[in-house]
Amino acid sequence: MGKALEARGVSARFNEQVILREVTLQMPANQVTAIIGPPGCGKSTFIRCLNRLHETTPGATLSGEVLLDGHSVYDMDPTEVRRSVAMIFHRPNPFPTMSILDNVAVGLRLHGLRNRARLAESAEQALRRAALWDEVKDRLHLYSSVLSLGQQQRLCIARALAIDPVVVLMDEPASTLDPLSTLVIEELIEELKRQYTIIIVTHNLQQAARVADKTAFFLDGEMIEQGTTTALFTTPQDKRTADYVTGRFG
Amino acid sequence: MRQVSARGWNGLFAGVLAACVLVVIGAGILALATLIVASAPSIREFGISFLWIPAWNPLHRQYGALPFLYGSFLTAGIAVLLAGVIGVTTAVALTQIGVRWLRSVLSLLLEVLAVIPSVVYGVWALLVIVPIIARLTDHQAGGSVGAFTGSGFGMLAGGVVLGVMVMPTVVAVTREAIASAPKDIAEAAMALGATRQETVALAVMPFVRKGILGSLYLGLARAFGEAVAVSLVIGNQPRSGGGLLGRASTLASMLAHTLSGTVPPLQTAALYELGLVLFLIAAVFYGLGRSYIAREAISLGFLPW
Repeated sequence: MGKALEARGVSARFNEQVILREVTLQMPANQVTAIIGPPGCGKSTFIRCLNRLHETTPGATLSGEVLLDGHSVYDMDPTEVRRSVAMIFHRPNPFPTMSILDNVAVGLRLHGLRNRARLAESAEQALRRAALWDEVKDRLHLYSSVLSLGQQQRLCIARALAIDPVVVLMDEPASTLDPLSTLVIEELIEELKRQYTIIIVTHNLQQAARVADKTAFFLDGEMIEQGTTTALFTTPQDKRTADYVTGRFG
Repeated sequence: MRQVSARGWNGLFAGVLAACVLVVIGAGILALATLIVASAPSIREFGISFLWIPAWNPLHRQYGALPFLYGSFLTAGIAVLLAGVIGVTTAVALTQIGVRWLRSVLSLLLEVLAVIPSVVYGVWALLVIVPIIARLTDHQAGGSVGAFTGSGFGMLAGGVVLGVMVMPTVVAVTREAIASAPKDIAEAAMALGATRQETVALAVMPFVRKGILGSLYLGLARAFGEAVAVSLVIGNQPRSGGGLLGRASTLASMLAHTLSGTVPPLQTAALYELGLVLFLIAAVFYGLGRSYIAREAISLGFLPW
């Protein structure tokens, strides 16, 4: 089951440059929360604060609180946080020097599982959940680079799911994919939210409208408005939100 | 009209470029040709067996490259082993330093190390490395390492000073390779909950293995070619089989040590032939090193994104 995430007054900077200002947002369990906004609005930085990846960049600092099921992730070991809060990146980034199977098994290996049979079993399960199993079951030992981009992205999803996270962050997961692969990913998101809490950053408004239960609009590092996806798109309260969702800028 | 003049300029430009290229390549070919011509008497006298004649004996007019090949390979081996282990570790450590100014200062220091003239390293080794080795190995003075009493001068001292000289190259090339390892792959590892060390092992090292190998070959080439620093500490004796602590000579140190003096014509020719052998070996190592580094770049370019 997924767990709820909550950001309280999260601000983030790179050196002197302020990227995020006091963002507070609730991301309910087993729902898809979409973060939308024009490029440079801080939406990617925001989700990178949620799994503590932001702080690994030189010059990055932040303040505020992120609560996973009520517990502050900034009081936990960052590697533990990242085990529970998985991340899918905007460009598929499977390990190119590993086989398809190893790519999925690597997370479990990292966390101490050595039994080959159980590794293979968990990998199969994860590949099935990522809707990739049927396409790769005959070539598990080939390099991940033999796969198409869309398949590589689902491989990355399988890799993330294999270690049993409770939240899955997705940073524009379909932005480098063709329309058909995008559709597959979106259907997958619909399926995955039964087991995981999903937060997806997207610059594609239709995508947010299609997959998200809840949507938050970011602009210039601030969270302008949040609400159910239907409400945000049909009856936005803020003029800037209205302008953005009707395509007047961005 | 305009087109003609543009073409004229292009022609001139091409001519200047071609001339410069010819000068550079010509210099290399000329050096090689000079070595071949100058070593002709020795080549005629000994033929290919020059490579394995185990003596350098002016009294018997016997000249062979084996003692120097032995010295060169052994000292370069010591050097690359030292520089490889310490250099690669240093490069990894440098990339893991979070404090930016400290990292820049350390990197700058390493770059400075690479441009210190080799004779300075030689003098330093003479004043520091040789006494340390002597202290450790001289039984009369209480040293206990090694089966034989050593003077400090010898193969080991030569290898160590070469190692120190090669290290900055290894660090620089390795650091470059690490820096060019794809960031998104490293983030993939971190996002799976990998620790820093695990991230380096999983997502950095697979991309730099060939770069490191390339840097070691470049290091070998430099270690082979280095003359002055080595000749100051290696003891300059043309013999093979002296062991780590024995006095020895390398191809390059022999040239630096002997060519300046007056020697019989055949010996001069033999010295030039040593130079020829050195030239070819260094070229092979350099070529191997470059090709490894180049291949690394190509294979990274083939990534599907």
